[in-house]
Amino acid sequence: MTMGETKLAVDKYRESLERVREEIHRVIIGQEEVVNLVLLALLCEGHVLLEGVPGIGKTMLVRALAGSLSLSFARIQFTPDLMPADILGTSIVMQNSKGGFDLRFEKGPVFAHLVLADEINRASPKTQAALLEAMQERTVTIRGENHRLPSPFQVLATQNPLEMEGTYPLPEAQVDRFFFKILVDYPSEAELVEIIQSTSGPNLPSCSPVLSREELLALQKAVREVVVPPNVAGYAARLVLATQPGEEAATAGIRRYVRYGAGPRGAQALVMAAKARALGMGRLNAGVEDLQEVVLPALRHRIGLNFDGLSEGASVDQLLLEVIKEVPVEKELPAELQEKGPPLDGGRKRKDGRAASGTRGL
Amino acid sequence: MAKPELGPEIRLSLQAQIYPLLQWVQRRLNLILSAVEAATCTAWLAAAAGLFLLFRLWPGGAGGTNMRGALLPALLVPLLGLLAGWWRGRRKHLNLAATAFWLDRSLRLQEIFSAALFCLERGCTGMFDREILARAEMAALRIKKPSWPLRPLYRRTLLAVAALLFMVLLPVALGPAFSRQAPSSSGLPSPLMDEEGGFLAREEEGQPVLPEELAGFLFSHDRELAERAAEALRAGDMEALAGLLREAGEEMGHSPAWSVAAQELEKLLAGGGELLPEEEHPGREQGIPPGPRSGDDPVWGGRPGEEPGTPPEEGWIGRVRREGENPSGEGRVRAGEGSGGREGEDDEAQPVAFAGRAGEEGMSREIKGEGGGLTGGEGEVNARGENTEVLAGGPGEEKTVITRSVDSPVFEYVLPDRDPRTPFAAALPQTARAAEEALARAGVPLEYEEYVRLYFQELAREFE
Repeated sequence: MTMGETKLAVDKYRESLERVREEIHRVIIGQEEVVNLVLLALLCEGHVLLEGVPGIGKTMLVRALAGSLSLSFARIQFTPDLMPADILGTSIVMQNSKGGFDLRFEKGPVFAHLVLADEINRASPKTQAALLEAMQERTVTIRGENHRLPSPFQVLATQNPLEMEGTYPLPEAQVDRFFFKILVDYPSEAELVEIIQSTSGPNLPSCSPVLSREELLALQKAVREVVVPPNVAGYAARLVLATQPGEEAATAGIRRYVRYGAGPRGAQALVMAAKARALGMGRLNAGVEDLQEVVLPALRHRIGLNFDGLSEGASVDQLLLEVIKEVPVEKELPAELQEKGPPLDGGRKRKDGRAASGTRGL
Repeated sequence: MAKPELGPEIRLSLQAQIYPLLQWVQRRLNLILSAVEAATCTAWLAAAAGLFLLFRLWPGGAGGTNMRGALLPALLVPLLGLLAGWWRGRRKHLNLAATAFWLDRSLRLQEIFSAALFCLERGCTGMFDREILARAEMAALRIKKPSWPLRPLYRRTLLAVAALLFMVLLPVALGPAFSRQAPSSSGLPSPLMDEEGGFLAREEEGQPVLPEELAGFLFSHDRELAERAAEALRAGDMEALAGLLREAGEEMGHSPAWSVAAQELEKLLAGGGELLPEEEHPGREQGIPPGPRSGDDPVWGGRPGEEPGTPPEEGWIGRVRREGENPSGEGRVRAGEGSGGREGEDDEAQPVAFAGRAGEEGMSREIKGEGGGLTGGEGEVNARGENTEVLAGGPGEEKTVITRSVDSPVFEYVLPDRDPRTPFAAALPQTARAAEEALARAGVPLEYEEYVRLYFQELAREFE
């Protein structure tokens, strides 16, 4: 690809993403950061865990995303009696043309491009494990036969943080398989007014496909081509290591409140998300700001609090912001030339005090 | 970083834009780092050398050394700091990748130069590498003047320079007190300490210093205080010693008797020895300068706080340099005969405050008073030179000889052990330092040395 072609391709990628974003926002009012993060995860082929109280548009968001893309979509409502076969599919007896009977594999909803796993924490661990294995391996094995999942494949799971009774919280190892954990917050007053106006009329808004599967695959490939300079990669590694309480670089809060920190999968997610963000902004190399902006959604679910952290109500997001603030951007630079990270709130505090996940400027 | 093999057009553009820019920034940054480290180290070490010098010159410090010995390391240490700082700065030098990253961060270029260097390093094999190089080249063209990191670097240097300035300004802030006392520890002789029989000399010889000697040295102007101090030293009662020192210091600092005495002596010397008897000059008790007085008056016999008419043996002068019992209570005080020679030094006991050291031959005047000891007597003035001796006492009785010099009239009666040729101003710091060191060597706790220091400070203030 020549330089001119590259430039055109990059512009095209950016325009494509912008189209998808606009289409989603026809249905989803506000929640810009959530939409941006979902798109980043989509570009990175990463699965997303959306967490928020009921009725704030989690399911609607996923539906809108599916409607904006020319991709198959399936929704699974997780309940305690949901079985793995209900997700993966099952072999059924079918009568063949000769009058005999054959076992035929009937694909489950997991074989869609976009899968909405609604209230994933309500299913039994066995069912959760079946889905999460499919998420990781991107294949399903039924009766010794491997069935490859379609590409692109993305699971968007939702869970309700309030109603924990009768739920099965996802194990740490399985939560780690999600690329992002996105906290969906309440809309603001202006957004709420707009939601009321747009959804209470005779014509409900809907999305139409603006990005084909091939375009999406090209975008996903382009993300992997984005350059990450060694010092930026080193910064990502230091950020991840700083979340591990046993590491020398760990901050005081991490040492005090954290039982385990992020691992290599977290570092991969961090860098991939930074790449996607850079490409989404028309850049061909990831930078420090890209990393800092995606630290929260990429790492917050990979950090487990210890007893002190749980009992004292420590916030993982605040601990991560402390990590961003404390970890030096460039280790090789003398202390005088180094810069500190952004302020703890970073001007990004929400009205409920929670730190927002960041995709500023995307 | 080795330059990879590239196509001619890329190599040309890199040579023209990216590498020269990065190398120029690298050179400037490394120069700044070296210079700031050198300046910082020099300033810190200069401040440390100044501190060292201050301690050397500080009264009571490591005195006895000459200025050259103290100044030489004080000048050498900053020079060493300059070299060490330059070496430290060189160790911090940046490579090209770090330079590119610093440039990216300082100009908010989203790591374009770092990415460009990475692309060059891997030979531009990536899909976007050439586009990244092109963007870096454009960014290089736009850069006119990077914002050099002078502020954080200066901050460290300014801190060190502030410390250095503090060290320079400290003696100035201390004012004349420091500058006046400084010479005492800058190599001037200290006879009390170093002369044969002095405390230091005896300490070096392993000879013990007796409590009586130490007490006599501390309270040479008041034998009773000296005796009490010797008892306190023998008993190890440091609190009592401290109380005595405090009392002596308060006497020096607050008693108006000193000023009254000075004025009286001045008038005596000027007007032929007219002194009022104590009971005829009640104003002395309030520290009011006395008026003219008759020639038959004694020098004085009381002290503030004592009732007029206090018997001489209970009075202040009566305590001074008493020799043996005096049942008559006439307060006979004996000191060296002030006949102009150095007879006073030949006495068995050491001279005390109001006896003083007899004036040098041909350098003193003599005032003899006859009559009722300290409460009476005849005044006689015999001008022989610059020093004056005042004798109080009746015929055939012990006499008090009071000597003073012209340039330090009153304080001649203080520190009588000093060489009369040495001016009081020069003798006072030496004696103060000798006393402090003697106390230190006698094992007196530090807090009591403070009292001695206070005592001599009050003395110095009175002298001023």
